[in-house]
Amino acid sequence: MSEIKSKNAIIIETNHLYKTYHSKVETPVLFDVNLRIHAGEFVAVMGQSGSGKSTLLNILGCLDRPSRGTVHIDGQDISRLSDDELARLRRERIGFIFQAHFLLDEFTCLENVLLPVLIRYGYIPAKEKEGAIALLKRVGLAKELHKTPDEMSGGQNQRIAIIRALANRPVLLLADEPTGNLDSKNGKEVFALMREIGEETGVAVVMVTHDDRLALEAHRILYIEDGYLGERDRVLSAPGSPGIMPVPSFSRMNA
Amino acid sequence: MRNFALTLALRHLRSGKGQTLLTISAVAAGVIIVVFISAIVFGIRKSVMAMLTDVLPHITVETAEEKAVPLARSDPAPGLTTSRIEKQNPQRKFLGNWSHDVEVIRGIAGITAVVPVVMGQGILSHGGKQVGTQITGADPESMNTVISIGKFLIAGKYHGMRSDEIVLNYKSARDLGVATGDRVRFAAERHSASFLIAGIYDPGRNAVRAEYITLRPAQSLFETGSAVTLILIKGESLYRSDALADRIATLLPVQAKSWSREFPDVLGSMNAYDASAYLISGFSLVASGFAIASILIVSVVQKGRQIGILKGIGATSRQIMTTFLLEGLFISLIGSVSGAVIASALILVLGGLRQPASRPGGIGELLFPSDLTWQLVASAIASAIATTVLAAALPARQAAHLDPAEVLR
Ligand SMILES: Nc1ncnc2c1ncn2[C@@H]1O[C@H](COP(=O)(O)OP(=O)(O)OP(=O)(O)O)[C@@H](O)[C@H]1O
Ligand SMILES: [Mg+2]
Repeated sequence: MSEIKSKNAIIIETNHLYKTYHSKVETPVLFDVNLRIHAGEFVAVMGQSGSGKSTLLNILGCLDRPSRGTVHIDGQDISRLSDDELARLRRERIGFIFQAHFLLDEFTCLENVLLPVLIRYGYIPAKEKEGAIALLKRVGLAKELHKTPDEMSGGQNQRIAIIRALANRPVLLLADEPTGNLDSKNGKEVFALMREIGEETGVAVVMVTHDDRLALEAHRILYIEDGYLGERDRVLSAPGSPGIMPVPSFSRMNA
Repeated sequence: MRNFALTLALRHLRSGKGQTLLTISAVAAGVIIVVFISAIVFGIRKSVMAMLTDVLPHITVETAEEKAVPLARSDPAPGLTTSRIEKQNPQRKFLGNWSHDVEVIRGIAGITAVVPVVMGQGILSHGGKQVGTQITGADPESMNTVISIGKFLIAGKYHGMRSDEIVLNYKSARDLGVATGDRVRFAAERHSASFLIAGIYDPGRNAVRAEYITLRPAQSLFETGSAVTLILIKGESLYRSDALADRIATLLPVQAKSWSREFPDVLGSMNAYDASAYLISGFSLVASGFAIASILIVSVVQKGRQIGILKGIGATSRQIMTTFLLEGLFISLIGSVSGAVIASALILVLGGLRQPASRPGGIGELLFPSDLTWQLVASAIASAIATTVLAAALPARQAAHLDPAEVLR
């Protein structure tokens, strides 16, 4: 592990973040988002379809830039970074898990896991390879090491994608509906794996999900509605409360 | 392998077998056309030029054409006027001062061979058979430096030929039914003489019928006295003969005819051949470039998501760009080298084919005269590589500029 983050280290900090898409029509998506996420936190992001969850995640993952406001990732103001520096930040500090598993068919399971290492170093150090094999074994993919993604199930692919996201030991793991394409059993397994690894490595996890039961397992639940980001009251998820609760109040967050 | 772009490029080529093969074939096809067409065109040029060099003098010097000179001035001795006109007018003019002319011409830079000759028409006969032909009398050693008779000999000798000997063209010998050692009679307008056949030469099916004797008997046959009818000249370069001819004409009161002015079509068609070779080569390279560019553009579009993921997990734009440029480079390397090998093999096979021989036991001329040089192959490969990498640049840029947020939506 490159750095061990103390529990209090701030991994994500946004200040008055706005995002408006300027295509044919102006689409304002995010308004005044002030967010702070610490190392080791497991945060769920919820909201209606089209509410801006992916937009937020893309900005946090440095794939997109905010229209206004600042974003600090692991202490770095991303608006000051060049494209190459952003690529490097993504490579070394951030792990991204996409909704569909998005592995490369040209590479085997093991190679896919090691892609970020390959991108970073140009080759695969033996130590990294051993680590990846150990992780793959742990998630039950010992026999699949040399299969290609099209020879494996969706759940297996997504588990590989998770391990890939952790390959460079990031401080931040972003997951955009990682269980969206999986059945509930596989979804639960994948979710459990993320939590487990998150807790072990102290990585901050931000996960978009539509699944209330999974969200309830997070440390915090963020909710986007009408462009505003709010934090859902944890009380609502108290045992015995059935199904989805109406959101009683939105406090503009200054967490 | 210590490079991500290189690893990815090779994986792409391996996994996209169909596309890879298609693009490699496009490059190979371009190179095959370039190498094949150029080798054939240059081969034709080379064989035409060799033919010209072997059987044609570059420059022919004759006496200046009769000018309208006032009789009073041209004739210092009154009374002799009538006889002079009678004697000279119906006859051809000769080069009386040829040894001086030869000296002067030899002194001009760029001239390699000068030979004074007597050339005329007549009838060759043997045992009742006759053929009309042209005969040239010259010193064999000098003559051979201008027209390579020795090279075309199929029987007997040319060098060291005696004054009562003759070297016959294969066609004349065939028509008369004679061989070396036989005697033939040559009849000019007023005189005739018998010659022993010293040798037979065969310059190929397209050459004119011409026989060779030594200078002195030719001078007697055509009544030139000690004069000659022509001076034949060879220069260092086939292409500088116009300038050399002009130089001779300014130095001497003679007519100097350059081969390229006598046969303007030859140079013109050579240049047209060359131009079309370059044009066809250029077009086929451009065409294969477009084919490659469009295949690669499709492949970049197909790989859009993958490119987005790679950027998402930290690949830089430069790494992505390098990947696609490397793919172009590999395609062009494999394609152009295999194209060059195929084209060369084709040329070597076709280059062995010959036309039917012009005489029994002879060797026919090449069906595809070709000039395959390593320079030609190397430049075809180099230009195909340049074209392909250029064609790959557009898709590579396109890939590098893909917005990951856009493609991963
Ligand atoms: N490139 C873009 N140009 C214009 N509008 C966009 C663009 N990307 C997203 N949007 C709009 O921004 C809004 C938020 O999109 P986003 O993808 O963030 O939603 P989401 O919460 O992830 O939805 P889902 O749950 O369906 O994935 C949507 O209204 C969408 O139409
Ligand atoms: Mg989304």
